Amino acid sequence: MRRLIQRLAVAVALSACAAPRVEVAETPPVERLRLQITKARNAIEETRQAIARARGARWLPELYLRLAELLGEEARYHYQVAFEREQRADRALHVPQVRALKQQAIDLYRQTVRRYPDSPLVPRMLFNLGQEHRELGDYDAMRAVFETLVAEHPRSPLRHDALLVLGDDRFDRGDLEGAAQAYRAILGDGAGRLSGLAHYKQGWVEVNTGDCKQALVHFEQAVRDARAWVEAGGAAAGLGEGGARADLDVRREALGDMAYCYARERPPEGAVAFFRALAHDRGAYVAALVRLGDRYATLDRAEGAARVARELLRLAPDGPERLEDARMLHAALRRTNDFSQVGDDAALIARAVQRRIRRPDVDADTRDRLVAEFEQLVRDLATRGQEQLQKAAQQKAAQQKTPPDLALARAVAQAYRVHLDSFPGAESRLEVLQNQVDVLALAGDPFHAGRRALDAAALQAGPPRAQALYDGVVFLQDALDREGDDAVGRMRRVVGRARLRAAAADLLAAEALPPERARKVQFAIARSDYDEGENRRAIDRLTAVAFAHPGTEEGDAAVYLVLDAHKTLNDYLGLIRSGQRFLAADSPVRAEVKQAIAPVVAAAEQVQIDEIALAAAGVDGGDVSGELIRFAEQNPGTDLGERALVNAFIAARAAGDSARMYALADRIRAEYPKSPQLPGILAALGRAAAGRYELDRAVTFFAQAADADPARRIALRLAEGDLRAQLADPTGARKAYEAALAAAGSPEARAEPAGALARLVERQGQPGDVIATLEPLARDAHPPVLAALGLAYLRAGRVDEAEGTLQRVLDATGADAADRAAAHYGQAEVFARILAGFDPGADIEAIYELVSLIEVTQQTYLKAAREAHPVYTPAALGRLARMGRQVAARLRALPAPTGVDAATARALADGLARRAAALEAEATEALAACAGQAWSRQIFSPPVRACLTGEPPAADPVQPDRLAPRAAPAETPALADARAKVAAEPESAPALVALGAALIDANDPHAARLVLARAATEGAGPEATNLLGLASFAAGDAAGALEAFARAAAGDHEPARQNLADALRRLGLAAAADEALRRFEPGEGDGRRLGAGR
Amino acid sequence: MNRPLRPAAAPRALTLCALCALFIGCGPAVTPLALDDSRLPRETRRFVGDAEDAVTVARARVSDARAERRSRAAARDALLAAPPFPGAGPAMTATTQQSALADARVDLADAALEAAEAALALAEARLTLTYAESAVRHDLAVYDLAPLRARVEAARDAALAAEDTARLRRQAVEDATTAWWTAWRGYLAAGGDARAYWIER
Repeated sequence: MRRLIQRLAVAVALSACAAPRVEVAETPPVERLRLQITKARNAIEETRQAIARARGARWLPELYLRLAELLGEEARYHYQVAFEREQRADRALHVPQVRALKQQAIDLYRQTVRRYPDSPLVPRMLFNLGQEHRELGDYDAMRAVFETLVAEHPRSPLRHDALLVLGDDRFDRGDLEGAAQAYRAILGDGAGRLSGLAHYKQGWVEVNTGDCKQALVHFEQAVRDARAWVEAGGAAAGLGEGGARADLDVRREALGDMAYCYARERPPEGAVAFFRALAHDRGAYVAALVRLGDRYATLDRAEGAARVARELLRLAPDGPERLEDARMLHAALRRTNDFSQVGDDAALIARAVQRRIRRPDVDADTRDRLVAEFEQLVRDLATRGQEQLQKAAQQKAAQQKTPPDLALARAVAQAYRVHLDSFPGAESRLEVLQNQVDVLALAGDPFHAGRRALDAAALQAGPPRAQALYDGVVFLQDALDREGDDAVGRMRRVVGRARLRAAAADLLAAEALPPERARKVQFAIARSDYDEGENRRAIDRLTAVAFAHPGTEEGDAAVYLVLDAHKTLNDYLGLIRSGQRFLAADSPVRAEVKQAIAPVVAAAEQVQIDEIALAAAGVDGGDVSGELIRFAEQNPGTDLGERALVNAFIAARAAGDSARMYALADRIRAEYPKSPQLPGILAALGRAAAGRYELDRAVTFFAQAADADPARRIALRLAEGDLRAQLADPTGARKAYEAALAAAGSPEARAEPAGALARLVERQGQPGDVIATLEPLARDAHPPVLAALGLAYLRAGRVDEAEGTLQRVLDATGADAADRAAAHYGQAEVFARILAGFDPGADIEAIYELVSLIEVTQQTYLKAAREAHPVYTPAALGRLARMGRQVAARLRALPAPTGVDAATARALADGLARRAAALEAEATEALAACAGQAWSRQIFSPPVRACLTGEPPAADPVQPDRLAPRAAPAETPALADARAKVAAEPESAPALVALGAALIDANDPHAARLVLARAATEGAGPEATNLLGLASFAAGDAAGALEAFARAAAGDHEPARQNLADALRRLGLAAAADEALRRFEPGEGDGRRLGAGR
Repeated sequence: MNRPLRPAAAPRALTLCALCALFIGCGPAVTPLALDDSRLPRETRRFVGDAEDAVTVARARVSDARAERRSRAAARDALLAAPPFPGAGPAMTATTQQSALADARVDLADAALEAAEAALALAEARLTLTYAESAVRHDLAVYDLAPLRARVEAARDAALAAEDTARLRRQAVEDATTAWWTAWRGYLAAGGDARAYWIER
């Protein structure tokens, strides 16, 4: 309550303070002038007193001057009072006190000039005196005074003012030449305070003498000089100190006045720019343009009028004059027929009228009238512009100049847009819209053409509406094809698609369209979905178009777009299925299109399979192979199904799933027997089976793959042959190598299978068979073949052929160490035979020949030994020992030579004895070296074993161990498990050892030794090596077995040490067994023993 | 024609519910690890962060799948509300096949949603396991990891099964699509008015 009372009190207080408003009028001008008169009088009085007190002072002339000026000033105030009292009606007044005061001033000026002729104030006093005469109408006196000033005071700044007044006086009296003289006198002194005004005056002189060209020069210079003066800090007025016409702005006046001559003398093109450059502010510029426009209108120069009107409409302040400008612009454009800027012009006109009619003081009738008038003007301009555009387009089309005048088209389109925006209620709106559509189309702007066409459709009904809708759809479709990817383009695409779809649906719903149009409209809808990224909907709609309108441009395009939309979605299954629907025999899609999309669909099928595999192989550990099998089952008998099965096979192989690999291979063979992938699959199966040491399967797969794939037959047959040879199947191996040879078409291609075959048949130890097999291959001169053949000749007793053949090996460039070792060994054996059959008797020359032969044979054995071959090195050493012992005995038993003296005979006998002794010593060393291969290098090849008997081999010891026959084992769960582990980890030594042991247990030592040999290379320990020995011994590979036992024994593995001794004993080498036990220290560990069970 | 419940969906939904209940009801509680826990080495934090990201991604996919489901259902409803293709015979076949396609697409969307949910469950199970393993590895807590690992395995199986279902449904959609376009071509060949497809569907 208290607060309420307080508030009321404040309100009352405030209301009490508010008094009625009193109008306070401004001080009347007369009153202000009276005040000025009073002030002037006071100043006059004070000045007079000062003069009285300053008698004789040097500043007295100045006081007189001041007094005269004050008198003149008071006179002017009196004149002003009279002028105001007469309501400013007439300036020619008779005011007694003015004349009296001025006369006092004149007298004072004259008196002072007379009394103080040397005062620097004389020019000023003379100038003021002249002005007083002028204001009193005493022009003769005025002229006399000013002429005196000009003549007697040439350096006074007031000289120019005086000249100016004199010039004006002469001008007023029609003495143009005299006036010009006065102005030129000013201008002769250069730029200055009054030079601008002098130019301006001179300009008018020229105008009056009819020389507009010179007048323009002076007006322009007047502007420039005046502007320079102002910019230098001078007053803007034309006359300053003491001068009249202080309100005159030369810059503005000269600019406006030059319009008259400019319109006559200079082309209108540069008018606007010229005046804009000279004008110092917008007001002056607009004022000059107004005068210029008027002048152009008077002269009927439409082009100039148009230019000026445009500038005025842009820059001039609003007002009714602008409507006139707009009308002038319209009229000028019609006269010039230049519509190149019709869009901007229409906008200027429309803006002028819009601004006008929005003013509150414009009544409704006027508003309606103005709108009607100016709507017509704008429409008229746009229509005329369109006529001109279409006429030009027709002419260009006739001249086959295709590009239309795009700039004009855009300008006309803009004019129509201005009309539509400015006069929305115009009755002509529909026609304007239709015209604008045509013009926008010519302007290459289908986006706006489409939108306007749809706007026009909204104003129509029936067939015209359908036509407009159709036009809109077509234009928008065209626009969507063209728009760029910038912000405007993206915005337009969004808007365009939305309007297109709405219009197309509207069109399809309401009108029965001709088929061709219906097709285009449907495609446009579908295409807009596609463009918008609505791929699922686009696929549906485009498919509908493709099936509804096959063989048409739209139908064909729809097919491609469907596939592309699927691809965009990464939907390869959908792409394939859509493609299959288009490719189907009963599909109406054109054959050419089918041909074009078939590869796309095929490629997608492969990608689809990859996608399935990728998806299944995600982080969740999916069943890739299983997925692909399922996919194949969903596409049976198709390329897709086949590819899926092949990929499933690859996935199973990558996963190490052998069972699935085998099953898939069987399935591919059964379901797709002509699959080009089949050979590769079989080869892969062979490698996989070999990797799992399912050797019998591997052999079979290699053989099948070789049958199916001629290109890789040699390699596959070789692989098959090598495996068969290792598995004690020489017959099968031989067939495989022969098949490989048959597949080889050149000596180079035959090299590898021929070498393999040569090694195989040589190991069989039947010289006749070797010769029969390899002789046909000898022409290719492969060193392994020649080496084996040469040795076979030797063993068959065909020594000469042997020597020749082996020499070919040594002469060959591609022979390796094994070939050379074999060749040297064979050559040595040839020489040994010759040596054995050579009997020198008592012929000393023959004895020398025998010795030479011995040396050659020795050297040849040594050459063979130096090749460090596991077989030929010990064989050569053993046979060298044998030869040494035999030859030593023969040398000792040689008879004394005949035909020599006793001393010579004795010397020869001594020499032969020493040579025999040396040979025996060498024989012993060679035999020891041969046997020593066993202990130093763990080589237990047949020649080494021969030497281990303690006697050098009496015959060729190169007799390879023969593998025992093999029976393929039954697959057991343990074996399968071990194989799977090896397949999963093919380089795992424990897995390999486990498989090797399992194979031994399954009674397959042949396979076991292969597995265990691999285990040894993977770093398995002596236990595994011992197992390798057991497997090798069981398989008939005695050399391999002894070597393995020896290596394991060297690793302190006691079971191996014992096994080594046992094996040697079983081979009839009891002494060597004892030697082994001596050479290898007893070791440790458990392990299998030879002949024992598991 | 609304379908009250898709027969194949019910057992799977029940399975998922049961699985969730199992996870919630009887698993050991695992305290989440903080990514800024300084006791964890950088690599572990990154590992945990990845598992958390996987959950986020899986949730987003569930959201997408729901939106797709709603969209497909709305499309089917609109189709059902539209008048059939005018005429008998081929027109009726076309109408039926188009509805069947819409149903198949909804079924596929259902299956895709279930697959996304199953993937989310798997990602969450993995995240829990990641928390637990990381905590145990760095002596931050003691958990029995075996049941957590079993949960991951179960969730993985469920996710794979859901993906299988979605894949089958995808095939079904393609089959329905082929049937629909065949019917559509038959309808057009019989002189059917194509406008109905463009206006009301």
